[in-house]
Amino acid sequence: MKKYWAIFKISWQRQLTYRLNLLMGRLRNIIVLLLLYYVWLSLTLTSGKFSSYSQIELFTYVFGANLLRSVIFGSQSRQTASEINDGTFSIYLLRPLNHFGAVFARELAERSLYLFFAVIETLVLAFLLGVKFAAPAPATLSPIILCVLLSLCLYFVLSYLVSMLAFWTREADGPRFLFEWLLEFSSGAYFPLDILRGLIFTALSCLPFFYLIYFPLSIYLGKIAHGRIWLGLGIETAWLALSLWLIYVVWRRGLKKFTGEGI
Amino acid sequence: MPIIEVKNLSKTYEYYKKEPGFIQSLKGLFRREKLYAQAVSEINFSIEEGELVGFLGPNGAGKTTTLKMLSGILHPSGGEARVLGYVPWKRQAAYQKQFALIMGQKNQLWWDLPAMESFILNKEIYEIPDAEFGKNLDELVDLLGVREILSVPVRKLSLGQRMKCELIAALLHKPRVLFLDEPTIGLDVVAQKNIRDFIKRYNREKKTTIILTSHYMEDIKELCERVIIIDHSRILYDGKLAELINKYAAHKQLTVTFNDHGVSREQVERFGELAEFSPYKIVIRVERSKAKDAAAAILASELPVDDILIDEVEIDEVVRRIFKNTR
Repeated sequence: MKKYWAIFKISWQRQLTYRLNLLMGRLRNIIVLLLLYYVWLSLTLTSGKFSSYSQIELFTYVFGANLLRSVIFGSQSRQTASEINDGTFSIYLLRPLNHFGAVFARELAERSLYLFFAVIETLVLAFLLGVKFAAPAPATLSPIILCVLLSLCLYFVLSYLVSMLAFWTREADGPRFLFEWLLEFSSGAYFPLDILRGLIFTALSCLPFFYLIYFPLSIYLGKIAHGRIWLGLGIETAWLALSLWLIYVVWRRGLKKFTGEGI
Repeated sequence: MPIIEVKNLSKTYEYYKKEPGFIQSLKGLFRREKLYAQAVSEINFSIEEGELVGFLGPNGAGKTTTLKMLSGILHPSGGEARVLGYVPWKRQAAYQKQFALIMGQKNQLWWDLPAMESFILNKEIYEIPDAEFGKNLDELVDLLGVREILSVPVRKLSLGQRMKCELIAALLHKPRVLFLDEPTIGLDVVAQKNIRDFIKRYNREKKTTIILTSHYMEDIKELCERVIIIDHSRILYDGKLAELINKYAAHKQLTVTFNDHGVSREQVERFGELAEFSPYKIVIRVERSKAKDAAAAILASELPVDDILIDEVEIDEVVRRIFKNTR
């Protein structure tokens, strides 16, 4: 375990080496957040609500999604594809080190840093804009925390799985693009998914992305009945278990295909 | 008992045919032809503990592929290999803690951070006890003379300094087997010599088994008593470097210098194949068995001979000829 903690620490140091990159990344987040804030503000200006959401609930959703994006959507698992293609992956195979564990440690380091900045951004912007947030029911706090942790793991595992396509093709960017597009739309990163209703909402609820942003925020806003919270967490765990099993299978096959190009 | 044993080891790469041009690229979207490239073909060798063996071969001969299989990066297409009793591609931690692979063309240190950070990370990865880490690090840092650059980000180091740090990172856990893939590539002659001297000393003192690949014959001549020559995925020669000349160099070289009057080309052509010519110095190639007779004939001739030397053909030349003959 100490080796992964060491990777966590060294990854932190590396992130802080590129301060401008970090700041630009955060600036992008602030712009997206402001954009969404003004869109929802204009849509709720007259009636004070949109669909089944009050203005306060929508603002809570938008600011909450900003926080969750920073915690959940990492970039380290994405880099695995280029590591496989440029040979950096080989360095991990040489050492008594689990690549999946090492990348996860890097991801946690990046996410913890981004969460720190996201909390500051959210609080400062909320103060400047005079935004008020809805409060969660105390009983939902533990399921929310559990759900966020599961979402962090689920996103990482799904993204790592997509990156492993690089074992078979140098063109892992195409599937990655599709993945990102599906993810942004169907995770609820920009709007609460139940606004869509009907068949589209049902279809989206069948995807694992549904549980990444929309589900924890819906628990927070009290939009999900208590019994269904635990059912949802069970389904999310099942998605995680299935993805981990797929990684195990793909990893074993992929390694036999790996040609160690780039070294 | 050999520390490295390789039996009928083979590796075939699969790839798709790619015709040049836009139209062909479009066609490739619908139909692609799969091709196979034999990188290593049923090679056999064994290496004893403490040996320093040179792997020689032109680009694409199969040297690096062999090292990749022995270090567990690649699964072979066929055959067997055992290093320290382990099957490398099973990648057991017990094996990984006992070997290291250094690649001259691939950086294994954290690029944006000082090398010291990578050393500390390796300490944790290889689970090296604190006292042992401190002792090994001090020893290696002093041997390679890099104490003053340990806190400089790796990206700011020269190639020679970086390679020294790569060596330290790879040797901190005291590997029993070391694979060195082109460790001196791109280095200037001084840096090349420093790295060579270090490898020689390390092998002598620690009895580490080393396989070295290099394009620089100086590396091989200086370090390796035994060489394995590989080309077109097959082993062409496995034996002592010195015996390579006897086996493959059918000729010896006579270097003759002349005094002030000099000679003409016509006067010396009859003694053998002229490799170099100037009126005051010639180099001629003659069959090994006829070298003494040719030297005697030159001395007995009317030519104004000042000095005569009978040499073996340079090892570089022998290796070049071996590769040329197999093409």
